[in-house]
Amino acid sequence: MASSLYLDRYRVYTKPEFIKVYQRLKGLVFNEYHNLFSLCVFLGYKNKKKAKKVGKKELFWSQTFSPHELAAFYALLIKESENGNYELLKDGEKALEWLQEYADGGMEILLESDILKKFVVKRDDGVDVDATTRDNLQKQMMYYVFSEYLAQVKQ
Amino acid sequence: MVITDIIVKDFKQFYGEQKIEIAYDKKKNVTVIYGANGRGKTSLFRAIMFGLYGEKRLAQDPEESEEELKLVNKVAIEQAVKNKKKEVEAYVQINFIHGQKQYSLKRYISGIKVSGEHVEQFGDVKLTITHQGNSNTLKDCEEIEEIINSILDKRVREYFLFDGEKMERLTRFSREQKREIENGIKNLLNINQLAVANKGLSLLLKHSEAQLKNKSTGTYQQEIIKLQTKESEKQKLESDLANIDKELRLAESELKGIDIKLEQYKGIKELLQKRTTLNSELEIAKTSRNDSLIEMININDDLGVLLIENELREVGEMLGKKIENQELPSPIRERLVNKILKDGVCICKTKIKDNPEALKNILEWKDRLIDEQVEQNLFSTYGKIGATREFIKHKADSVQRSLQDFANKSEQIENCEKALKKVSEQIGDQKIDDDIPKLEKSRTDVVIKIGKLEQQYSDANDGLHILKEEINIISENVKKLEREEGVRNDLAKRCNLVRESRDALTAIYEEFTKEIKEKIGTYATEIFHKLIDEEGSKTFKQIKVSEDYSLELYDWQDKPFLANISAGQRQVTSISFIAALAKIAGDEAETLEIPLFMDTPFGRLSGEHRDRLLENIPNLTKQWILLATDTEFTKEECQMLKSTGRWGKIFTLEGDQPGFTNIKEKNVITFIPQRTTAIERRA
Repeated sequence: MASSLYLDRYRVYTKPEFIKVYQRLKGLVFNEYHNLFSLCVFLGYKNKKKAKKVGKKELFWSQTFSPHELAAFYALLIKESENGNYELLKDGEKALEWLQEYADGGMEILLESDILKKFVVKRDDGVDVDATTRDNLQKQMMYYVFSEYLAQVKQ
Repeated sequence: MVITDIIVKDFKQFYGEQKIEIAYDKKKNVTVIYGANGRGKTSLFRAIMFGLYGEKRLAQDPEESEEELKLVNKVAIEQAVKNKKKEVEAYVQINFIHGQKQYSLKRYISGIKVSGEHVEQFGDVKLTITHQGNSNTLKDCEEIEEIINSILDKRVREYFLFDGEKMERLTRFSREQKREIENGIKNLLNINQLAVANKGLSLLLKHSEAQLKNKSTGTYQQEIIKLQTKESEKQKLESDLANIDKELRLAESELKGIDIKLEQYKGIKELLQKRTTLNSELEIAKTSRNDSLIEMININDDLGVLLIENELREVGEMLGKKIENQELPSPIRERLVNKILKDGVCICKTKIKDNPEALKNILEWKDRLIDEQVEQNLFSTYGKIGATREFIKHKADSVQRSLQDFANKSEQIENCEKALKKVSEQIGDQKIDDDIPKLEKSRTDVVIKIGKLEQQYSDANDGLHILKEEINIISENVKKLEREEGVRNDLAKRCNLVRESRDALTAIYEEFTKEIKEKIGTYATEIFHKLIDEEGSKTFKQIKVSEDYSLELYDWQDKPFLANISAGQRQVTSISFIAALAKIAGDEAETLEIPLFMDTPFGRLSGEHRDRLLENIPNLTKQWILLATDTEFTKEECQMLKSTGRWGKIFTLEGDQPGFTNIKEKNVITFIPQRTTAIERRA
């Protein structure tokens, strides 16, 4: 049965090892989980980095995505279906899985980036970020994304 | 008395032995001592006071200013500690001529550091008198004091030096002014003995009246009791007045001390204010930057979409093309294809059953049809891409603004911190932050206290006048009753005699002071007219010392004018008064017998007043020693003084460290002050 992220409601997951990162950065860099999730999706997509399998740790409901995030997700899904594979466009759940794989891939990139690298603490149960408000991560994140945006606009 | 030279060793700022020669040639009797504030101009005057009288304290020293009263050079004391020497022996030697004799007076003072404290002790004093080639050296303190006092009376020592403050004080309507003038006059009269006798007679009168009261009856007794009561009240009031006066002096001295400290902190105060301003600016900038950071979290909502602007554009363009090529929307096409296949006729009326080519095209078209849900997603996305790209544009703008704002605030913080660091370095480690507000608070308290005390004094004084009137009336009554009732006993006679003696002494005292007041007024007026400019001379008639010892300047209509005169005229009035006092002290000779020290006298004078001062003072005194700073002794004053032909010597006080002032003699002809004239500055 056909479904869509625009209309239907799904649980969004991440890898259990990333859950602490989401928790730490919520309120410190972003207001909500979905902001970090979408950023990771786009980072993963831009860098062609996907996780091999989908994480199992619940993050939030897909309804919380903003209209702009959804439009951007579907733009990527449409690009992906250009070769005639419309499965992702037909099935909301599959589309979300595809996005989750990129999100987890993007998270790996983020954790290795200059912004977070020095704050990353690896633990047995996953990764944590040891940053405080004094580290101005929100500003660094903003600057990082804006620099990438300017680079692509100039191209 | 003519001072020829002063030698100081390890005295105040003057490290080691240094000498200053005072011009004493009749034609060239002006000496200029030129130096910045704090270099030791007043210390030279202090050296003379110490040398002549062994006095540590000057009249201008506040009561509690112990620091000023340390006379031995601190650097020398520190070095003595370092070199394990026991003490430093400082001295002042004053060489002078009086009459036909030459005098050399040398006074010692030693300084030592005990448990970190600078302690001083008076040492020996030695006076060598040379007359016609014969020298005699005296070492007895009392004998020396007697000789010095006979040459230069200690009573008028305060009038050798007049500084701006003294000049200001003399022409300000205040109790302080009256006190200053009263003291000057009393010092000149030397009537302490008269006051003692008066006090003794008052006590005797009290005693006699008590006896008389016990032996009297009826109305006479009642009047005696009344008189006694009033006399007691008067005595109490006089004692109250003396106490209030004492308190006032203390409070005024305290105020002076506070003002000196505040003046010292003035430079630092500006820096502290700057630091406070910078600190609050820094605080505001930091708070504002923190607000920006909090706001950034909100701006970071949907931030990620900025990363795929390119993809959004590409997909938007692609979908647009599909729509343009009628590949979308497919549900209409699907219904159309199904209808064509069912009807067997195309919309162009071609019968597709008969036209295999047309049928093939229609079937290929049907294959390209996509799922309805997919198409819905495509359309939804196409519809949203435009809005999202617009959103990205706005988001990028607000991100840029936010980052710029953050950078500006960070720069502001950095600048504030740099400025703060600089100011803090300038302030150094002086812990005075708390002192200034405390001092200012103390000052306000003291000013209020002085105001209250002055009111109390004035009330008590008024009460005293009334009491004196009442005592006079009762005394007359007593005398009348004595006449009427024929009281002729010895006790009554004694009482009357004592009272009359006391009243006579009071009258003598008042006559003396009246006379001296008039004399001072006459001399001061004479000098005033020499010093004041032409316009002032036309406006003002004379200076008078009023009954209550206030100094007043009258115009030609005999109206008091002191409250309305300019700062320069005020200064000339003060100088005239002090010169008059000095003239009387010097037995009213045409030329003052004492050397006159003037500390920075030009500050408030107009060009004409200054010129008149420069022209006339050298004729009024045997020696004029000008203590001047670079700000007031400019090229203009220098040229004017040169033109008088009276300028004999110039010394500069130089040094760049505390405790190391060097006295250097310069050539009067070639000397050029550091500051240019006002005219040159304007040019």
